[in-house]
Amino acid sequence: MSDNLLIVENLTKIYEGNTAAVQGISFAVPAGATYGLLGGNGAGKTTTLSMILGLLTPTSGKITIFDEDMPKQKRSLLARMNFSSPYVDMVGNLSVKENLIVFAHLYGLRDYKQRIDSLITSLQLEKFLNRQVRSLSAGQITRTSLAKSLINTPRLLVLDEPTASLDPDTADWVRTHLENYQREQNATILLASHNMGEVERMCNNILMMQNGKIVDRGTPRALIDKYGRQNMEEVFLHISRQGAIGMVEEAA
Amino acid sequence: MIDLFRVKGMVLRHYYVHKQSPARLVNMIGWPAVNMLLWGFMNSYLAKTYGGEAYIAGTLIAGAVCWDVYMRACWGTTTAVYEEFWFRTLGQIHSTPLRPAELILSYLLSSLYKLAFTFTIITIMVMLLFGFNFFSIGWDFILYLLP
Repeated sequence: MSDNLLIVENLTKIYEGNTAAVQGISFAVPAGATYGLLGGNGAGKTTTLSMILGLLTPTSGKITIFDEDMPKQKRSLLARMNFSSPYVDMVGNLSVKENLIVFAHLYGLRDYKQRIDSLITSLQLEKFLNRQVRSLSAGQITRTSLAKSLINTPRLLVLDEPTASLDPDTADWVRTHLENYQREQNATILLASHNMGEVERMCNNILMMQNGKIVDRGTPRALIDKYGRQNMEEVFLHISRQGAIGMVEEAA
Repeated sequence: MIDLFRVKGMVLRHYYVHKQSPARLVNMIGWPAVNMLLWGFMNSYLAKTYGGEAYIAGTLIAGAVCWDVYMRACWGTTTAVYEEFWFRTLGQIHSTPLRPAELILSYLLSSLYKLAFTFTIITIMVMLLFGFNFFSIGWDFILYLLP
């Protein structure tokens, strides 16, 4: 098996009306690493994640996960992956526990009771376990969504802005939980975020996206040094306003 | 290959929703009951007015039962699909290993148990209130339900 758990090659997505959301991007994520997809609104992050999850069909290009082709081996791959996004709802009129039971079935977990109990304890869901998801606060919904995303103990976790709209305390709690999970399971995480502090803290490597292309990449420290800035937020602003130093995709 | 465990997951998803929703229970029992009362009293009226023409009234009640069952079978399947759009859960469901055939089968089974529930209630109701045994029309009605 390749060292890279996820390989994306020349991935392109052109929507109807000739809108190119993603334009020939390539990257590889090694097993056990956390990679961040960074970019402004409309940069193509969510479209990229959707193609990796098999929710969108690429116009061209190739996605290989666990050495298998997505979407050809979609069902087999999805059983070993999971995702969390505040923009895709849990079933609002079911309770937290009912949601977890339903998704445990959908992921084919025959022995789900123990797994659900363990997630309830580790994510502190006890207090609102029997409440309908639509009646929960943003923080509680995020914890529920996180529990769902970990239900099948995924080896590849795709996270689309996992701490959006959370207060700093809850956001920090979520990041710590994700870091612990990754360490314990040696999981691979692909993270799209607008929170530069989060990306700097969690990611081994960052892919900067702009207009559907990867315009720069590297470790947070390397990017900060390259642009002569203090932190990732300043790097982000530099790239957004003045462009990247040397376009990686074009150079490649 | 269809995995019935995953199908069970989607059937549970609809079962949980109905279990805790009085509005949906009214839709499953209340409206069919009102329909049966309407056609049941029509039955009584026709039987009294035209004497021995009970056959006509029986046909009307049997027709009402069949119509209700058929209509609810259609509703049951289509509203289950619409519900996924309404609650924006399609992304969650389609990012699981659930196959399209399993999803369709789960919608059909969810519709079927709701239908069986409504059918049981209304057949007992017309028997107790109007003395009409739906099964007296014979088992041919199953052919009507097949489509």
